[in-house]
Amino acid sequence: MKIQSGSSSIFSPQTLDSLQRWINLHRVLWVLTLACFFVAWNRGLALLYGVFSLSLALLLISQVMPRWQLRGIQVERRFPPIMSAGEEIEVVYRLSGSGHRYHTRIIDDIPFADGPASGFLPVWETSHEITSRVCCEHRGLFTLDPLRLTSAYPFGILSHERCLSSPGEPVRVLPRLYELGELPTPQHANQNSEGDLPIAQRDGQEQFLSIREYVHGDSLRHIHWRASARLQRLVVKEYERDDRPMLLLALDCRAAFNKGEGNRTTFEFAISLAASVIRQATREGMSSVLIAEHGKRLETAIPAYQSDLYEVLAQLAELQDSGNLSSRELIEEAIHRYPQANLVVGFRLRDDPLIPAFPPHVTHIDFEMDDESFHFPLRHTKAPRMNRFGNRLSYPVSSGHSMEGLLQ
Amino acid sequence: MKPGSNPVVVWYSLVSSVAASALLYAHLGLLAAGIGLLVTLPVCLWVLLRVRHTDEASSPFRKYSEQTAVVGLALFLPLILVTNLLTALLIFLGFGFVSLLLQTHDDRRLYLGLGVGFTALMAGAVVAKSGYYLVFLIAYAVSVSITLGHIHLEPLRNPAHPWRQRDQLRSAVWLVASAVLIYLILPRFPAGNLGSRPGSDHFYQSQAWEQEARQTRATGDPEERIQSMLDTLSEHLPESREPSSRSDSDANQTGYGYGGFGETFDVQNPDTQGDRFNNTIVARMRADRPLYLRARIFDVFDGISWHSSATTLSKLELDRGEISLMQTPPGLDPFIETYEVILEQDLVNNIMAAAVPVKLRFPGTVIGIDAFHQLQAPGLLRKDTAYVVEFLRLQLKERSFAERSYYEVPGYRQLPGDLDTRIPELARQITQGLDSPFDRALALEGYLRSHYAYDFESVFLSQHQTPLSRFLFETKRGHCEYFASALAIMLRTLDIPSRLVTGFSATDLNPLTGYYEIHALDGHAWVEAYIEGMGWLELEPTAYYDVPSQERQTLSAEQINRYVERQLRLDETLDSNHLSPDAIIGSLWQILYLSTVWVAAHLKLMFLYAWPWLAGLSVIALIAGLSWPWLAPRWRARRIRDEVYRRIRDADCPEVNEYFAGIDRLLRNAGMEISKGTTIESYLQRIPDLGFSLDPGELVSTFNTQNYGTTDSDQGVENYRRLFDAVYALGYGELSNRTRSQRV
Repeated sequence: MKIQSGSSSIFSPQTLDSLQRWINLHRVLWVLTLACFFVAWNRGLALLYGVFSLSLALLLISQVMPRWQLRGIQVERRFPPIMSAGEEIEVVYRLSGSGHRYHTRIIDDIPFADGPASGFLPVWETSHEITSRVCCEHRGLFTLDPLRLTSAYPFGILSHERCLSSPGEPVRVLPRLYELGELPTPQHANQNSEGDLPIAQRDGQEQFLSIREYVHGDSLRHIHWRASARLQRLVVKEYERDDRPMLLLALDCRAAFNKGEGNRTTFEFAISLAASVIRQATREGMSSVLIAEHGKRLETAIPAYQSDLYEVLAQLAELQDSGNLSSRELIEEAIHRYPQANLVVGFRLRDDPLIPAFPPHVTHIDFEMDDESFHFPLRHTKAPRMNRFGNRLSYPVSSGHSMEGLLQ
Repeated sequence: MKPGSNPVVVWYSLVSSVAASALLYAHLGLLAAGIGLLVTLPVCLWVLLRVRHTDEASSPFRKYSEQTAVVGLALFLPLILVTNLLTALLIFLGFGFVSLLLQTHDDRRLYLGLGVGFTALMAGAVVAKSGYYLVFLIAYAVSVSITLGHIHLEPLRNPAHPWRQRDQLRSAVWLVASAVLIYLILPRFPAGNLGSRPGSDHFYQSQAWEQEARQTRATGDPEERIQSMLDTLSEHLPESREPSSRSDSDANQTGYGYGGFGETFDVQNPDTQGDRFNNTIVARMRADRPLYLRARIFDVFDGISWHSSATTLSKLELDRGEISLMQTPPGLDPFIETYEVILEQDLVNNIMAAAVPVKLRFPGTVIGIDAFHQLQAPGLLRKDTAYVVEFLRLQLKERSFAERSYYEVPGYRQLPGDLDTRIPELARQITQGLDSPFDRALALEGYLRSHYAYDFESVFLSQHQTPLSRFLFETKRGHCEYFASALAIMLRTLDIPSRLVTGFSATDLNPLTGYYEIHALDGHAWVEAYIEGMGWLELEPTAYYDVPSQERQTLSAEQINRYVERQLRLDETLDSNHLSPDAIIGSLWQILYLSTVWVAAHLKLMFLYAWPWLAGLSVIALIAGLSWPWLAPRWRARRIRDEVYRRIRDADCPEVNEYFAGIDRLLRNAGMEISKGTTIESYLQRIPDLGFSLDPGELVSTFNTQNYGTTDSDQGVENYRRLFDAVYALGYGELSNRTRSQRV
């Protein structure tokens, strides 16, 4: 039934497209049925009335049976508790209904996925689970669309669709996280030379702050054995020290900063980088402060060794490009409030002005977004290389290159 | 999507083969259908299995597909010239299907192929005249339902959950059952006959007749020529001739041998060849109602034989196979009806036509017409000849009239010379007290139908005896010619002009094919009586035959019923051998029919007579269905309460448990969700949240004491009873609201 389109066709491509959309098996069968009835009536042929009855029965069953199969079906939809962009997730649909059900197809237009999740069951009884794997493409807070149940039982001539209203519970997808590599060593206020990040020391300028869960990489010296024995899990002592490196990260949430399309925009990349940098910083024992302005102020402090970053990632997930202040402006404003910050992370487009030089003890990580590569994602660009200008480390970020190991 | 799975390939091949064999059956018969099935099935399978392993772009079958399409196209035009449009189209369709089959690379082409198959099935149904075609229809329905299901499931295929065979069968049964139901209850509308022209395998022409027609054309139109012939007839009564079953022109012809179609015939033995005593179908008629097809009209009776005065034929030339025989009287257009006759056996040269033919479409150049409007072909009518007649249907006082006009011919009032005097006396007795000729005619007809029996044996027993007297006063049984002759003569004794008509009683509608089947046994004689001011009234004195119904039979169930009744009566009349294989198969077929009739008749009764009840029940069911969600939980709550009280009254189990179970059931009925493993403590803790004042600790204590302790506490039981009553008294609606708010 495909109508060949060609330059010599008397129909325009649009006409052919709409014709192809309009012509389907169901409509063709109706035309044949009506033709059959007309000839049967005109010639008074009983056998042709028989053929007419057959095609009418075919249409009737195709109309009624799908509706009957979808009656009263309840579907419970389950997502993993934590979802991040870039991850493949399993969505479980639990269908329940009375009696046998045939040819049930479930379609879920998951707003953050690369395509609808779907599953098909030729036959099931009382209740059944379908698992569908989808890839999360977009971070954010999403309200789920109603689930669609379809059935074209038994002939596939006509498909009936039933929308199942969902309770409207929002689903959050956290930003994509990259393994960026170790953060560059910041300059200490009392140090002029580069050096390793000092670990917390018992006799240093530190004060016991709290205990927290052991994470991989923690020194065994910091394990609080008594508390671990009491809680039946490993916990470590956390100290507050004055000279501990601190990360200040400012996100640019202006619409002007958002270049590109879909999930490959400078803004989305910046959010992913911010999330990844914060995670890396907590791993490395830095406390972090995230500042952003997206219509309202966001300022979140993340303690060092914070194992559960859900809260800050959730805040990042909900950020919109509706702010007015650039990353530079936010940093200039915040640097006075956080004088102890010795690692400052900012984002800017390639042509945006640089932040004026920081004091020597402050290391500035400047993510320079190659907006042209976001506008033209298929254009070949050179692999970005880090540039160092004094205490400023400039990391070019382009659409076509992976962020994994960017800081290496 | 390629037809990747074997089920799709197998079932698609099967459905295509069934459609092809159905078409072959309709055109060429059962043998061709069988061969077609055996050939097309493996070919389709082979091609599809090969095609599915190729890519569309590089398919080696592509060129063959294109060549097949070109050959089909090249054959199409010559075939139109050699055969007819329908045949050419069908052959073209066949080539198109093969071409398509060779390029079946996606499901759209599979669907297109199914569409071609369906068209072939339709084309077969147009041509088929046998009820066995329904077997092909059912086979097609079964195979197409499973094929469509497999094509639909192909892209969604889930090896873990295959489409089970019993589910395939279920969908097929659904389709067949629905189709049969629709077929049974579907009203049959009168045929439109828009632009229809019969296809006939024979063509009739006679140079002598054509020349004669050209010579007499100047004498006026057909009606004027008939008038001229009637003028000749009115001058004198023709002399009696020796009984003969055939006219002179038919002497060297062979065909259906009912003597009543000749110019003269003997009422004692009108079937000299015995051709009439079997159930062979001699013709089929497609019409909206049963009809009496007239072949000859006889006016002169000598006591033994009937003779027709109208021996002269006026020849009429057809204009491209069509001729108007009379002008339609103004205002009578709605009564013009059309029927088509297709001959299944060689017949005599009479063109059977229901009174009064207005227009004829006949495969020939010339026809003859006699003074009584009866039509004749230039030669013997051969098998597979088809013609269409438009006729004027006249109806007055719920009776059919053959013609309105009357022209006095001496034969219409002629009586045999040695007429038994008891016959006029009997006629007078029957019509005593009746004044109008119409009522008298009906009274005589009714008397013969109710007092005399139909019997073929009379043909052989009545040799060499005066037939009418013996029939009327002694045996009181005989064949239709006796009935018709007796009625015609009795009418004449009452001074009512009458004539005997022979022809076919086409009243046996095969509900499966929609054609009226005209059997050899349907060769028949009946009477027309002229009623002053009304016309020629058709009278059927033989009770064995139905008076042609004026009502259209629009329901298949009714048609099936009549057909089976008729078949049973035919079998009974012919007294066939009940032990022969044919008879056994016939009986099985009859049983199948009868069971269909049983269902169909009840369905019909249901639709016709019980529709107010059905409508009422449907409304009640609808109301019940709509209010069920409201009613059901309330009804369940009441049942729970009654059950709890009954169990407490009858059983000796702890009352606390019964009350607790009752409370639990009432709460669950109201939508309270209670997860598995909930302890009685946490369960009872939730109840105060629903607004019931109680001490959960006390209730738990009572429960434990009653079940695990040794002492009883009447107060504790009373607390449970009060709680149960309070939960029930709250009512389902309020309880449901509270459980819902608790959930939120």
